[in-house]
Amino acid sequence: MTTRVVACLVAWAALATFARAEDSQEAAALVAPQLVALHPIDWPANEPHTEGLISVTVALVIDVDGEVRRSELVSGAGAAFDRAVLRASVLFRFEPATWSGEPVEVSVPFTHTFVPPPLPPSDDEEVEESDRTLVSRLEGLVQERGTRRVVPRGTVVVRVGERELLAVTDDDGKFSVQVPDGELEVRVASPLHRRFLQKESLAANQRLRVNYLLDRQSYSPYETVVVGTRERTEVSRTTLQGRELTHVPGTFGDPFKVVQVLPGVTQVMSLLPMPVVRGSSPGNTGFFLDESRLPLLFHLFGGPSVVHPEFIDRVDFYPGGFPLKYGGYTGGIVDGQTRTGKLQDNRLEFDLNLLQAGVFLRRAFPDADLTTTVAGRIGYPALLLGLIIDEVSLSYWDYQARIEQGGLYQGWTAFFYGASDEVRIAFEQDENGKVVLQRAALFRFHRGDLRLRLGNEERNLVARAIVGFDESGVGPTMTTSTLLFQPMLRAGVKLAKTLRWNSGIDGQGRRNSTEMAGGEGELVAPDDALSGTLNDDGWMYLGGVFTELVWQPVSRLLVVPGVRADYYRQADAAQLGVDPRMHLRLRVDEQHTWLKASVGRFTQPPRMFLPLPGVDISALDLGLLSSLQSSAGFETRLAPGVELDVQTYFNWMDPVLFDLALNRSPDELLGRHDNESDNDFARSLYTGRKGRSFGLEVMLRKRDSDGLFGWISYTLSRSQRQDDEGNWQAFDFDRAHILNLVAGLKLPRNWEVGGRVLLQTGTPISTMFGYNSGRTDPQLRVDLRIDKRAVWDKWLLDFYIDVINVVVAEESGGLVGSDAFRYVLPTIGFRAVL
Amino acid sequence: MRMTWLFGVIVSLPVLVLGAEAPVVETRQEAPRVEVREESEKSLIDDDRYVPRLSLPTQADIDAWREPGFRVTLGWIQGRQKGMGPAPDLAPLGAALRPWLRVSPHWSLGATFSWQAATGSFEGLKWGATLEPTWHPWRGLALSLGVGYGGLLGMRASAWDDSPGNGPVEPSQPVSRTVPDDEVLDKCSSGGWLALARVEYQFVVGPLFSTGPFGQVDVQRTGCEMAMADDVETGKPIVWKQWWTHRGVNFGWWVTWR
Repeated sequence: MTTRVVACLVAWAALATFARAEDSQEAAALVAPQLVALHPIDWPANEPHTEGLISVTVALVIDVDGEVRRSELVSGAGAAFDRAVLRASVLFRFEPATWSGEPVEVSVPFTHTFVPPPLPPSDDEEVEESDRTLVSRLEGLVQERGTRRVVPRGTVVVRVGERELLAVTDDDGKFSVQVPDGELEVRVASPLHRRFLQKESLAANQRLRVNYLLDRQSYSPYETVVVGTRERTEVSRTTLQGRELTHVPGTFGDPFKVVQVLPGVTQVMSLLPMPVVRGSSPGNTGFFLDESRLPLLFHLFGGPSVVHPEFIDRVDFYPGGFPLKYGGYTGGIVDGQTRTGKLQDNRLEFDLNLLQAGVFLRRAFPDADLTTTVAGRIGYPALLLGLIIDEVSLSYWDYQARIEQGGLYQGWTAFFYGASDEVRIAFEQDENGKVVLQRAALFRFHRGDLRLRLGNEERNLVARAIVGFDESGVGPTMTTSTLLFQPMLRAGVKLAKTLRWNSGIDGQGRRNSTEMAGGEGELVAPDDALSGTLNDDGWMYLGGVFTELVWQPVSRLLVVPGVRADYYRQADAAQLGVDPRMHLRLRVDEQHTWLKASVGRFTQPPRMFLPLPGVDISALDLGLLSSLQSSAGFETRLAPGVELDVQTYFNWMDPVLFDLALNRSPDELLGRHDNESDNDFARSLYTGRKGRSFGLEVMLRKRDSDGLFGWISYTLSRSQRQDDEGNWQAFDFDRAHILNLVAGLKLPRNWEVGGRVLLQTGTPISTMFGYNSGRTDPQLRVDLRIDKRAVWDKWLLDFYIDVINVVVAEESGGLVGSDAFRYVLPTIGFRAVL
Repeated sequence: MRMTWLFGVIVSLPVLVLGAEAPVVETRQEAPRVEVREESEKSLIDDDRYVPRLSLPTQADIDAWREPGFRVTLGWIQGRQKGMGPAPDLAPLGAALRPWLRVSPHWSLGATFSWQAATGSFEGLKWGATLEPTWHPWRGLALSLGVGYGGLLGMRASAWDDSPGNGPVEPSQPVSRTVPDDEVLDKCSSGGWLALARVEYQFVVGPLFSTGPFGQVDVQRTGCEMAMADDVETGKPIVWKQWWTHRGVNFGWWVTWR
């Protein structure tokens, strides 16, 4: 099986630089290609001597054998210089890049800087005379300003009058050159750095040691970005990484919020990032962290996600047809993969914006093969809110701590994380007339995640044990808490060259308890006739097992059959779901174009519309929700770094719960609302219905290989539910057209600008002619983001402005129905990297 | 008052934080001269330690600001807006964000976004987004002309207690219509075209920052909409619309980061 991963190491230094793989942001499982043989590139014959340095940049495509398959000109400096670099660079030899241990193809920018050859002295006597004048010594250490990384292979040019003396920095960034006494002009050139100029003055027979600090051309925090797809066994996955995660306008740099601008996704409303994926209810899409469900995703529902962004290496998004390792959902899956610490990576970061402050610390202990990482944030939205209103207080915090040893297939990890949100409202005043804030809502969770990795690339096993405590409170008195234990096992065995077997077991035991100050604490469904309870006290057991075969009989065909079974038990209710699934991929040309298709069954227990800690699965006695998902399409690479992905899908949902009941009914519109309407609403929530959704998704994507990233995503879709009379009606959050344009561009002097435009049709609303028979106006939203990185001698400071809805465009639809509203949400933030 | 204070802090923060640490570079036109080393450095010459060196400036600050490149300007803006016809007067105060490109020594192109809290007889938000070519005739002096889209969101201060709408639809209630100027529209939520002219002077305070005052006149025509109860046939709100025109004079101060 030939794994095809196209990666790009943006902002490439000298070849030896990326071989060190020092960049802390590098993909966890990606190992950069390492130089084996460098072919010299000489100053072209017959080209005249120039005053300055000349640079040529090419893109090297390095194949799985480490050979340069192609060298393409990116920026030239004249035919002779371009030709010299193109001809020589195809002769370079590398140890190939690897992804998870497998060789992969990568694309690497390479810049060669030509140093003008020194002007020859007129005759031998002059040379001898000149050498006698070299009585002093200039020694130096060349480092990058801000990060203090050494700069290897930098060219040092010392000019004394008409004479030029050359030196090249070694792997430690040091150089040494004999110079005459007097005044010298020193220039340092490095492909990744701005030109450096300094004047030195040496006395005769003196030695001067200098530490030259070079400004980098671009101090992007994400210099190494996987720009292609790694090994793919599924049909519908979009992987985001690097700047695509943290620099998308309108997300405030939150990796999980980027999902909202991908194909097949809309939201219940702009400021509430609950995704509606391929026409499914928000509660049917699961959010995971390293394959473990997150009980609370966003602080205060619309704020930042509960995990520090620096912990997230990449986000995998599956709008449907997701792998068997994920169970318990019938919509999509969003899985944030945490970053594996590296033994060279020591970092301290502070961040501050109008809503929160945070810290991130990573410390490696190479001798013990250990890496430790801690992070935490405190949110203080009440500070700003207090300027406007003193009757509401909002606060949140989260923490993460991880220690890990070993590598991808051997080692262990202990990961602890948690988060808390609290809303306090003035329900009453004290005797002095001062408002007294009382708890209105509390959401809190803690997790301990222990992992043991055994084996190798051929046979591997991951054993995990997760313990957790969840707590949700509504009002000042009622609190639901959950204690859970979740063992997990994952195994993979390469049975033959063309066949791999993956399997896993999930378990979960959780004990719910509800406390009500001054009374019994059970939440009961609004209608006694309804059998389900929202959250039974007592034990709940969940178990899942899956197995799949990854079969690649020939390099252009991949077949992945598998099955997953999940068992749920709560009180007297027990449910079993069995989900067979199949994925097919067929490559139709030699390189980049794949046809793909998948079909499968997906089941889940009834879940709350909003995921809350400890309040998740409910009404199990109503049965499991089920969907039959099918998808077909193709993906191709149009040019290096430019990809096109087209998919069609059809999902049959039977049954769905908690759907098609949120919008206002025609009776309410006509003012005929009464208590019976409330009962109808509740009954409707608990009524199992049939649903269907189908559509077309197109994504044209430019990877972040040369400072520009972005995509155009378009979704044409229809999502419907069957009403009580058997008629198909539009789903509450159905949108026929969703168009997203996202772009981010690096500019000189460490500026980055980005924009996002969203244009989508409105959502259904009821009219006098029937439920969801009308539609709100289309929505336009424009977001803007500007980033600047300032560099000091030993640290970096990032500054950003992110403005959501810069033109204060009107929004209606979704949760707010026809009640149009306008808003603009700007923020300013800082991040210091030490 | 607290908002003003907070805004001042926010706008000043980049300068306060960054300006304090920004490399101090002498502004000069001539080529850099050889630095005179301190006496303390001489003792290091034969030491094993390395003497840290940053690159010398390669150009004067004023020249650096004339170079093509990207800039970002943040500032506060305050003014008076005279309402014409049925439009109420406004006293807006707020923030402006201007990303712009210096395309040549004398010309630049930018977009200015402003968001201002309106007080006085109309309470709410006034915003604008304009595209602006700018001419830089001399040192930090700049003249801009801008056209774009602006809007209002809010209601007359006198209308808090008796605003119509949001109840059950009465059979006699009219459908969406354009309200004539002799009637009073209490709420406004929409946009229209905006044009402005601005003069500014920015003092160069280093290679990274410049700062200075500006004055601006503008005119905005807003297609104000007030949503009533929902139309039972479409499910959408019944909308009353009236055109408001404002002419204003604004001034402010801003900080530009290069």
